[in-house]
Amino acid sequence: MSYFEDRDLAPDPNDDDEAYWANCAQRRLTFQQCGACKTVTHPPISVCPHCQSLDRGWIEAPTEATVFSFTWIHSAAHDSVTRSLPYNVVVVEFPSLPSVRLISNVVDAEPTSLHIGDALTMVWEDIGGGILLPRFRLAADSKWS
Amino acid sequence: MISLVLQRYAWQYGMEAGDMAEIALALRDNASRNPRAVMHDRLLTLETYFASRMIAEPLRLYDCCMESDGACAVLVTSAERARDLACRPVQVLAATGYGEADWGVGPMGSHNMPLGRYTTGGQSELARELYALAGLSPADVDVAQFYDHFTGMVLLALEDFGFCKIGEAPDFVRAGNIRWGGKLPINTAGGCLSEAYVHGLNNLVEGVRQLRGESTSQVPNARVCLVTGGSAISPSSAALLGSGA
Repeated sequence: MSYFEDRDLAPDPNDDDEAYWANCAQRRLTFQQCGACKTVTHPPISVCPHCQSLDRGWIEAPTEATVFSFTWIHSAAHDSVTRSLPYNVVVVEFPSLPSVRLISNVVDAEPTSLHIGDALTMVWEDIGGGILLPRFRLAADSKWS
Repeated sequence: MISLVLQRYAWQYGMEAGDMAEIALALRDNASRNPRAVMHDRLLTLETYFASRMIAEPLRLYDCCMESDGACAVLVTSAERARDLACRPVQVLAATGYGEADWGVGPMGSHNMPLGRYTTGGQSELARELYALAGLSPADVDVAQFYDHFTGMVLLALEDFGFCKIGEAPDFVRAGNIRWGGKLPINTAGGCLSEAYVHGLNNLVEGVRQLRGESTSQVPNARVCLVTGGSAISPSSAALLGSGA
């Protein structure tokens, strides 16, 4: 299953993020950490935006995540999402890793059930083609706890 | 992407939907006096605003700029040459444009800008440099033309450019300050929300009109006008124009 029905919405890995997607395919959410200044950043990029080092490593993402911000989209900017309206877009934050936020979706949420600060649990969505996407569920949702 | 920032801003500082509506209504009111404006004869009320469809919460239809065809041009030349021209010249007091170091990559910095910068338009450093270059402060600005792709981002620009403190823009607009006749009239031709979306260049042209005394919503004795470029993306830009008188 996938949050969006259209499989054409899959990411197209490039030089900067192919290692990120390879880790996702192994059900590992990872973020880049600079080997020189140790700053953790996202999305993946070939040069550290803080110290310009090319030494790029990876760390495992924290498991504790919360809603930093969110929106419900009611207008389809592309045909492929029309059937999913309204859908949410969520900025996920990791309290133990404040330098990184992740854009994702909260599956199985209703427009009234999503709030800033809500605790989230990550779920992997296998959308085919070797791509697994990190998505989230409300941790307090009794259906899943 | 903008809606995510505004949702967080609303949560943090108590912005209400009516505060964004005030931007839309104020600019439509300005457009009603501007015969060139696409929305010149299209009345917008608070009821119409709240009846409009949601695009991306909290942004409704009237919170988003138009898609329109249009063209603008500005002629930039030396003060010496300008003296011989038929039009009354306007002085570029200062202009600046650059990306801010901690803003990150891409639109909205991919939402990874530092916490204190998240609920901003990312233009505060640029604003400081602009005022320093001109030797002016926000108190010297008589009229402003903010890049208005979305109503809520005008609230954040009011803060980035120093017209109110962080989190106080909702109170600032509730007091009527941005209306024609208010303390800081903004986007006096209607802006990208109600004149036309010519990518903000129409706001620059309106800044020139104000300083020539040719605006359809003229601010009496306007001597300094702020014009800002697109917020929430790096790099951005802004200029301070003077009447040259």
